[in-house]
Amino acid sequence: MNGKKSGEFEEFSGLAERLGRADFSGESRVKDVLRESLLGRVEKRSRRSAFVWLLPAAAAAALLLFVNIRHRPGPGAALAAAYNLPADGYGQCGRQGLEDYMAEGRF
Amino acid sequence: MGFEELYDQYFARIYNYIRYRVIARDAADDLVSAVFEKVLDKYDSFDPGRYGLEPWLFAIARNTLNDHFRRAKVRGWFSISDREENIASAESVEGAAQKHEENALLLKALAGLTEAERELIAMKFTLGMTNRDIAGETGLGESNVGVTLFRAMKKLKETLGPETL
Repeated sequence: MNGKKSGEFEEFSGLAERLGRADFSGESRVKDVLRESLLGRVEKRSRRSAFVWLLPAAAAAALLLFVNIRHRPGPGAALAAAYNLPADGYGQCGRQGLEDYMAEGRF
Repeated sequence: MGFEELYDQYFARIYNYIRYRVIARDAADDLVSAVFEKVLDKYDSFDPGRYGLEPWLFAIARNTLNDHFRRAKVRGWFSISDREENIASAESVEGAAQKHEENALLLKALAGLTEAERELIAMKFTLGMTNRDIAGETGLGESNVGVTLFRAMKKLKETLGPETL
């Protein structure tokens, strides 16, 4: 955007030049205060956004906590645990599930 | 470009554009604050691929000013013509005259123009827009823009006098 074409306002060249160079911004009473206030807002906003990524994690943690509290294992849970398969991948009979055809050789 | 850089680079141009149009310093200070607050609020959603930065900034400044004039008209501050505004502007200019005589004379001359003429002068000389850009923004014909600018320049030259140019 460069408004002045060469030859434009030839009869007003002095005036056009004066209008182009006139700068009133030094007379503004708000220039520095406004700058400070707006940059303060920018900084506050960026500080806030630095923690935004934590929100989903915090929400998930809160949900898990809530679910754990709601579903406390009852007295039967300890008894039921005794009938669960051991965590080694083999059942109590040494089979790794019903699909474990190789188990035959082990018996 | 960060907001800090944008502010430093464009404050003067936006302020001068506003000052050319409203003349009074206090009003210009209020309006420039409103403009940069809007710019900051919208800066995150600004899409440089869609608009250039300058047209986007100048559009915000122009819309803010137009709202200001619309509200002023509704409140009746403009009365029937621009006469009262010009008188008030001339008074506020008198106060600034001691400090910045040259600027004050220019502002006083600008206050003698109609609002429409001041708008075109401001777009031309502070924002550096071409007659075609101005026509596109204001909805006026390009030749109409040229004629209005010529008439405004003539008025300014008569008011300022050859010795002040």
